[in-house]
Amino acid sequence: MKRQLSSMVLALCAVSVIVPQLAEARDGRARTNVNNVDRGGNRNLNNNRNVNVNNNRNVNVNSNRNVNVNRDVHVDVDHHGGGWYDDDDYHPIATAAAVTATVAVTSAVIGSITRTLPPSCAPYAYAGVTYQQCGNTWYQPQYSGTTVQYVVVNPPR
Amino acid sequence: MLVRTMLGSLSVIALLGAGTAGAEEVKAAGDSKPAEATAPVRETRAIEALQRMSRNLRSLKSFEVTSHSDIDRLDDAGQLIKFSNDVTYKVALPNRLYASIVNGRANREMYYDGQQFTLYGKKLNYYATVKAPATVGELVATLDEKYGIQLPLTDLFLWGTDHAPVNDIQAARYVGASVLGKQVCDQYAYRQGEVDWQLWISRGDKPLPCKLAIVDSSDAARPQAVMSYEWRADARIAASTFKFTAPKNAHPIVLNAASAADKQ
Repeated sequence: MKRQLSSMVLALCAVSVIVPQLAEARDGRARTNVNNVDRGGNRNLNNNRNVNVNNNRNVNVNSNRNVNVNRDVHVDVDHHGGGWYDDDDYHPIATAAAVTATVAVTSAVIGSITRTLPPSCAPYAYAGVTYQQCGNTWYQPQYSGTTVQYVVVNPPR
Repeated sequence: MLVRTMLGSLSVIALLGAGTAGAEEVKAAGDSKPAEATAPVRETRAIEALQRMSRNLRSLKSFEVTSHSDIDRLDDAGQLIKFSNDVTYKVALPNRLYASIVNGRANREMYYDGQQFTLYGKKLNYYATVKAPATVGELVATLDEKYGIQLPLTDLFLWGTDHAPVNDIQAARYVGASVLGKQVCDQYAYRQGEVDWQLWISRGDKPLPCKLAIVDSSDAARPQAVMSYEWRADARIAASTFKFTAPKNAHPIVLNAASAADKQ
């Protein structure tokens, strides 16, 4: 019996460990509506998928001088478009990686998408829409859902 | 749902304890959980109260509603964090709508004048304007289906329509009277699918929602959204309210159509 009890305790411990993982898989965002606009698809409108792709490459080159080259490309795009309750310009619950990944892109890939701009950008109006020039890189801000994302584009000329 | 959660836990226990754990133990583990849920009760008066409120809501020609909401979101450490938002709607049916959504992280507005829809983020100072359908009802659907934008407090536009059939409600009961500020509202509890929700409805012959609480019971973390409403029914709203005029230094950008892959 004693052995049986201890195995039970073990089992319960295992359950408590497993539960947070399940929660994480569900995204942990509260539903904000009872009913769905799209009943046919029986889609949970509130179930936004959040895909964080953090590519952090850290290259330390030590020679006579100490040169640190940090090249962080932070792609953080909510594929369903952000909800109304999401932030405009930063993530409310950012991972440590996302916080430190201030975008410092010298040559970003055309078509890549980011949630934040590097510092010192200048808006440029062309053909009725706005671009942001940040050094040699051009971004086109767009609403994806209700949040703004920036797509790296060729210079609009 | 409780039953399902229990069954889930039991099967995990059964798996992990396989070999040593007998049937007796599994039962003991079950006993340590809350008592098994009784069969769902579906009180007619709770359904009728919802229907009365919905009918009144749909009969409004215009309204202003302000809402404060607290919305849970699980952080990386497994803690539920509450985010507060204030939403204001000014609506003149059938084809005019203004909304503002303000929280510590965003300050957004939207304008719909029957022809165009504009989304304006004050913080970043970007706006996007698209052609809009002819009615508020169609706008709600178009924004969702085409742009992946779900209006805040969507239920206010869905109750009393085909999108909110009471047949979907499996359990309904009257909880009791509740005092919310200076108002007495009647509290009801409903369950449909994986959604457990509670609605507080104002008394009198023109009932409106006072407060709404929603829990996604399929999410083990049980994140909750709670929103309270303050109404000005049949409010007079100036036509200019619905017209977007780009502020100085605001920048026009595009509103992306949601791709098919994003809509499943």
